[in-house]
Amino acid sequence: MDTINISIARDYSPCPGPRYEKEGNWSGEVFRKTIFYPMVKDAINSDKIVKINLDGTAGYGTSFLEEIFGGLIRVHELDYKKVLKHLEIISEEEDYLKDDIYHYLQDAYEQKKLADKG
Amino acid sequence: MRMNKRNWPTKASQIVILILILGVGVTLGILIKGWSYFVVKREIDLPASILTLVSMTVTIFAAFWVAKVLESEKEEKRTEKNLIIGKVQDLSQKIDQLGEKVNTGSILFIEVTALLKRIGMSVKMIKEVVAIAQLHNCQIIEGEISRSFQTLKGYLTTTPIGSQTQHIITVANDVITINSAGMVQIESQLEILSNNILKYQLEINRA
Repeated sequence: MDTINISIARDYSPCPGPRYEKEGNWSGEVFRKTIFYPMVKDAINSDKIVKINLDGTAGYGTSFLEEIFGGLIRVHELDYKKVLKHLEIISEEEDYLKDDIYHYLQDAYEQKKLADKG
Repeated sequence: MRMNKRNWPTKASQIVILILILGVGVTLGILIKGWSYFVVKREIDLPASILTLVSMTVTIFAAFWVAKVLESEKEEKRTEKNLIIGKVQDLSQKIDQLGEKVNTGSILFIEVTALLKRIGMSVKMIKEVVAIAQLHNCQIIEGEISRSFQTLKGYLTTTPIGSQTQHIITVANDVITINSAGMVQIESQLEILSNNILKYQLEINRA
């Protein structure tokens, strides 16, 4: 599968901000809407892999990462399994972020399942 | 009357024991009757003496060498531990710095995420060095540190999704504001993390 590379520090901001645009600059919401969702959607449709590199920033808040990854399922309603299949996370500096992100994706999926049932 | 362990053996009992030991020694000597047959040999068995001399020299050198190797290994381990403990102390300072910022009640979001990243990377680096230095018995406390760090990070950087309420922090204009109940939780979590770091330091020192 072909790969689409993206680095948050290089392609968005070295200082990622909070969850929503209303909370401050360089939010997860803006990144997801303008860069990340179109990229992941394209990767799923054209059978590519998005390789997202988290290294090189000043640091991430929990909300930022939850918003960009969980939001793919919660807001854009992308298929959980397809997202997992077309996503590769690089995080050498803070390796524990990978586990966090898989939890956010799973939580968003579980929440969506519950919402769909209700 | 109870015997006081600190005052025992007394001088009198020491003398009695010495006399007894001397008595036992003399009795044994008389019993085996060999003591009177000891003679001083005034000749040298040259090949046997050289062999004995070589053997003694080798034994002495081996003893010195083993002691030196063991001592140097101990010294190296101590140096490694001191280096790691120095890094753990740096980590403690970063946590204290975060605590000081939290106490103001209003902090720049980026300041918090940057400090949390530095703390997270320090923990990761120390764990790696501890593994390289083969200091065992630290895994349990490492797990506790990771959990307390993740909880603290969650408290300090999680804002509500959509219209959810009841969160510890709110963020506006890139500034985190902590509510009073949240402040208690964060301070308590900071203390848990600091205590875990102290335990880690002790474990490293003992390993």
